Amino acid sequence: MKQNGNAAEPTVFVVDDDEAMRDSLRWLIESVGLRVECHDSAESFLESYYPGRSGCLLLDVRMPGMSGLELQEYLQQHEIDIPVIIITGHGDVPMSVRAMKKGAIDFIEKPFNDELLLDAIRNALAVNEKQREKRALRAELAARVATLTPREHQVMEMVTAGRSNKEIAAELGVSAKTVEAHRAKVMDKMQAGSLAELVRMSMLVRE
Amino acid sequence: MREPQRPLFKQLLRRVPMPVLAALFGLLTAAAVWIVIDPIQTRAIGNIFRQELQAQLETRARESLLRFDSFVQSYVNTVRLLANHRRMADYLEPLVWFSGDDEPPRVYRDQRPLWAPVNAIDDLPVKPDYAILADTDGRMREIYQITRRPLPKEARLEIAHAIADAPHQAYLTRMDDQLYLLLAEKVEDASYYHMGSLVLLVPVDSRFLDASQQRAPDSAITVALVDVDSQKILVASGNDPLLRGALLDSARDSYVTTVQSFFDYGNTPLNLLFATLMPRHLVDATRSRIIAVERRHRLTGAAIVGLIFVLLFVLVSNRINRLLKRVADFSSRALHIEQPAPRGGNRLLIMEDWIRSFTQAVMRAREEMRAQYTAEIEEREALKTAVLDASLDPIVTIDQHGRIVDFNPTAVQTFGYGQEEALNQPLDKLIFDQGSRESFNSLLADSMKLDDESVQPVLRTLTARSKDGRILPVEVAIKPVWLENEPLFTTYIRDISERQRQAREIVSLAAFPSESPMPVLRINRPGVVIYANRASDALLDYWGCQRMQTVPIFWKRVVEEVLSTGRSRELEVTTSEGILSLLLAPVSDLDYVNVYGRDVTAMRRAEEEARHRQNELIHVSRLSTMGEMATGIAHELNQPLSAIVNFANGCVRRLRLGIGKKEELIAAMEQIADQARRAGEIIKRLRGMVARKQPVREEVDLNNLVRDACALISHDQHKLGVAVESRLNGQPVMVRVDPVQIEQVILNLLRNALDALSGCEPDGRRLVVTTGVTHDGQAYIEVRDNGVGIAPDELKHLFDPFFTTKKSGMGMGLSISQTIVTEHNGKISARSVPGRGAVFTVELPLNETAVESKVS
Repeated sequence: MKQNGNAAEPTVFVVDDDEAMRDSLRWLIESVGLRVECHDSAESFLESYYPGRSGCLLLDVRMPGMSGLELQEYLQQHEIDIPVIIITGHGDVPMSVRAMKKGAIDFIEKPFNDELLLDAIRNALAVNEKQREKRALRAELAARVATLTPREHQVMEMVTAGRSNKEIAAELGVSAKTVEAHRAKVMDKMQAGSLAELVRMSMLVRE
Repeated sequence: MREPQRPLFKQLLRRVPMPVLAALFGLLTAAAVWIVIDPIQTRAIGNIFRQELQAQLETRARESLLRFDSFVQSYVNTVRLLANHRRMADYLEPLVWFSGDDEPPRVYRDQRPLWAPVNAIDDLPVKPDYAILADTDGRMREIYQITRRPLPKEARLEIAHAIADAPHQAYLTRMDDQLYLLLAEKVEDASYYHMGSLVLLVPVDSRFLDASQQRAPDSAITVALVDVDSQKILVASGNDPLLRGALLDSARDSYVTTVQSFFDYGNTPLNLLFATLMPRHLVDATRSRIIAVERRHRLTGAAIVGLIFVLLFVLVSNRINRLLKRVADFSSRALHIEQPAPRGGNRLLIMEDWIRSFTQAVMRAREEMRAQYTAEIEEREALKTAVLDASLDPIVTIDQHGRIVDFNPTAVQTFGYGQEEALNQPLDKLIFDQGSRESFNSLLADSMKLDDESVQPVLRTLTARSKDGRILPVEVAIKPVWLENEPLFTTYIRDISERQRQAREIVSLAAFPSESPMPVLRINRPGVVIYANRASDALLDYWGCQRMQTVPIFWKRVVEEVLSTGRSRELEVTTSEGILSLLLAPVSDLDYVNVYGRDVTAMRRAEEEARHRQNELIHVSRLSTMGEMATGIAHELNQPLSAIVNFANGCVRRLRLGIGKKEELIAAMEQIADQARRAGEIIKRLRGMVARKQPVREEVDLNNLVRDACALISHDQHKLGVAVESRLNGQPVMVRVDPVQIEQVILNLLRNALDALSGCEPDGRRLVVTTGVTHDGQAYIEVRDNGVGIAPDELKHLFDPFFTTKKSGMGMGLSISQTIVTEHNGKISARSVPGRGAVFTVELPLNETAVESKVS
C-alpha cells in the first residue's frame, strides 16, 4: 500500500485477507472522509508501516500466515502503540476475548453495524491522538529535563516526591535558600506554573 | 463252345466296329436322299423364278409405258407454252390471213421465225421436224423446218383434220411410213379471239423411244411400238436392227415380251401396242445362276445336317459299344463266362452271341442254386427251432383250432406248464382268464385276416394266469404262418409286469415338478411352453400366454440364446404375486429349456430396505458432517454478507450526504450483487450436501467434485492456515456416480487430513489433492497430508464403523465413505507412515455406461 500524506493525518489501516471485505470496509470508511489504507496480510502491513503514523488498525483475527493475534503481539513487543480494533466472525468470541486481553481497544463482529464500526474507529483515532499528544509532551518534557543540572534534577526529584525544602536542604547539606533557588530554576526550566504541574510532568517523564 | 459257321456277310459285319458301320450307313442314306430330291427341287426353283420374272416384267412394262406417257406429256406442255407465248401473240395480232387466198405457206429454213422463242424448241430431247402455224381453217401458213427431213405429203391433210377435230391435240400418227407425234394447240389473243393454231410434228423413231426411257439406265430392256393389225414392230428403242419391221412373234424367240395397249392415245388413227422386251439369253443366264446358288446352299445345308447326324450316330453307337463292352467285361469277370468273341468288332452282334451263352450259364446256375436252397431251408429250420427255444419271451405255436402245437422252454418257465401238459391243449383256456380269453380269440380272428405279406403282427395287452395262479400282464402278438394251406399261428407272449412297474415309477417321477410349489416350466426352441406346473400360473399371466403357446419375443430370444450357448441363465421378473428369479437351464440334446422359478420377493424387499437404510445412514452422516462444519460455513457465509452490509452502508451514507460519484456508487452496488451471488453459491453448495435425494448416477467430472469439496472446507483451511494444493488432471476425469455422495467422500477425506494437520507445526502443513487415471484405466482421487499419520494397528480398523481416533466425531466418516465407494464399484484405501502423514486413495471406474449397479 502506498503511504501518501503526512504521518499526522490519521489513517485507518485495514488488514484482511478477503478482498471483498477490504474493499467494502474502504468504501464504508471513506464515506466519512477518513483515509483508508488496505493490506491483505499482516506481513504486508508491517512492510509499509512505520511507528509514528497516526491512525488505527482494523485487524481480521483469522488470516493465513501471520494471524491477527500474532500481529498484535508483534506490535506490542516492539512498543508500537497503534490502537487495534479486532474484526471477528461469528463464533470467534473466545479469540476476540484473547485479543482484548492483549490490549485491543475494541472488537467488532461481522456483519458490521456501521455506526458501531465508525464509532469504534473514531474512538480509536481519538485514543491514538491522545497517545500521540502524550508522547509529544513527554518528549518535550524530557528535553526540558535534559536542560537541568544534576543538582537541579536532584532537587526536582525530591520536590516531586513531596519533600519539603528543609528536608531537601538537610539531605543535600545545603541551605534552604540554595534549595529555594534550585527549585525556582527547575520551575523555570520545566516551565511549570505550579508544584502540582511539576509533579504531573515528572510523573509523565517517569512513565 | 464251338462257334457255328456263319455266312460270309455276317462274318464281315462282325468284324466292322459299330461306329464305322453307323457312319457308312448315315452317308449312304444322305446320298440317296440327295439324288431323289435334287431334280425336284431344281424344277420347283425354275418355276418360281419364271413366275417371279413375269411379275417383274409386267411391273417394268408398266413403268416403261408411264415413262413414255410422261415424255409425250412434256411435248404437250412445250407446244402449249409456245402457243401461249407473248411473241406468238405479238406476231399474230397484226397479221391477217384471208381464208380464201391461195398464198403458199411461208417456209423458214436455217432461220428461226419471230414467233418461236430462243430455246423452247432447241432444248427438247428430240427435236420436232416441223413447227407449223396454221390459220383457223387448218391451212398451213408458216412452216419452220427444224430438221432436214422432208415434210410428209399427208401432213397438210392430217393437220387440217387435226385442227378441225379439236382445239388441242396430241396423238401418234403415221405419215410416209414414219410414225409421228402430232401436237396441235390453239393460239388466242388476250380476249380469247382465235387467231390460229400451232402444230408440232415430232418423229417417233428409236431415238425418241430411247429418250423416253432415258431415266432407266439398263439397256437390257427394249421398248417397241407394234401395229396391232399387222403384228409388226413399227419402231423399237435401242439399236437392234433385227427388231425393226419384224413380226412380234418372231421377236418372242429371242426376247421375253410383254404387251400393253395404248388406251390413252385413243384418237390416233393407228391401232398400236406398247411392247417391252427383255433378251431371253439374259433371263436364262440369271435363272441358271440362281439355281446354281440355291443348289450350292442346299448342298451345304444337307452336308452339315448329314454330318451332324453321322457324328451323333457315331457318338451314340460308340457309347453303346463302350457300355456293351463294360457289361461284357463285368459279366465275364462276375460270372466267369469267357467272352465268346475277339475284343474288337461289332459289339451288338457279339453281345447277341454272348447273351445266348449267358442264358445257358444261367440255366446251369439255377440248378445249382436250387440244390443250395434246399440245404439252406433245412439249416434255417434248425436255427428257427433254436431261436424259439432260446427266446426270452414265451412263444407258443397253435393250429387253427387254437390248440398248442409248440410250447417253447421260456413258456414252460413262465406259465409253469410242462411241454407234455401244454401240447394239444387250447391255449386260450390254458393261460388266459375269462376276460382276456375273448380278446385273445378276437385277436386270433384278426390275425387270420392278415395276409402273408403283413409285417406287423397284431399286438394286444392281455392278462394271463400261470399254473400256480399268478396274474401276469402280458403283450400278445400273433403271426400267422401258412404251411401247405394249413395255417399255424406263432403267438408271442411277453411278460410286461416289470415294464409296467417301471412305467408307474416314471409317471410318479414326472409328478415331481407338478407338485412343486415353485414354478417349473419347459420351453422348446421355438419358444412354446410345453410344460408348466400349477405354480407357474402367475408367471404365465405375466408373460400373457398359456400352456402350449409361445412366450413373448424377449423370452424367446433368451431361450434361443441359452440353447445356443449351452449355459444356463438367471433372470428376474416381477409378477403380480411377487418377484421371481428364473433359472433357465438348457437341455441341449432335446432342444428345450427347463425353467425353475424361485420366489425372491422377500429377499429383494430386504435388500431394498437395507439399501434404503444405507442411504439414510449416508445422508445422516452427511448431515452430521455438515453440522460439524457449520461454524466454518457460517463464517464463510459471513464474509460476503459483511461485505454487502459495508458496501450498502457506504452507499447510504454517501447518498445521504450527497457525496460520491455515480460511477463509484454503481461499482459498489455491483460489488454488492457479486457478494450476494457469492453467498448464494455457498448456500447452494450447502443445500446440495444437506438435501436428501434418491441416489442417482450422473456423468460428472471428478475434478469438479474435488473443487466443490475444497470450496466447502475453505474456512477450515483458513483456520488452519493450510492451502489445499490441487493437482487436478489436465483432462476432465469423467465418472458415472452420485455426485453428492462422492463429494461427501472427498469432503470426509479432506476433513480428516485437515484434522491430522491440526496436530502438527503450522509452518510445514501440506495437503495435496490429486486426480487422474490409473494405468489400468481407473479414475482416482488421492488425498495426501503430512500430518501425524496413522499407527499400523489403527490402519487395520480404519474403515470399521465407530472407529475413531478423534475426541469428537462418531467414527462413521470413513466407514460410510467405504460404503459409498463400494456401492460405486470402486475401492478406497489408506497407507501411512506414522508421523509423516497419510495417503487416502479412492478408485472409481471411468465412465462406462455398462456399469449398472443394483440401485437402478
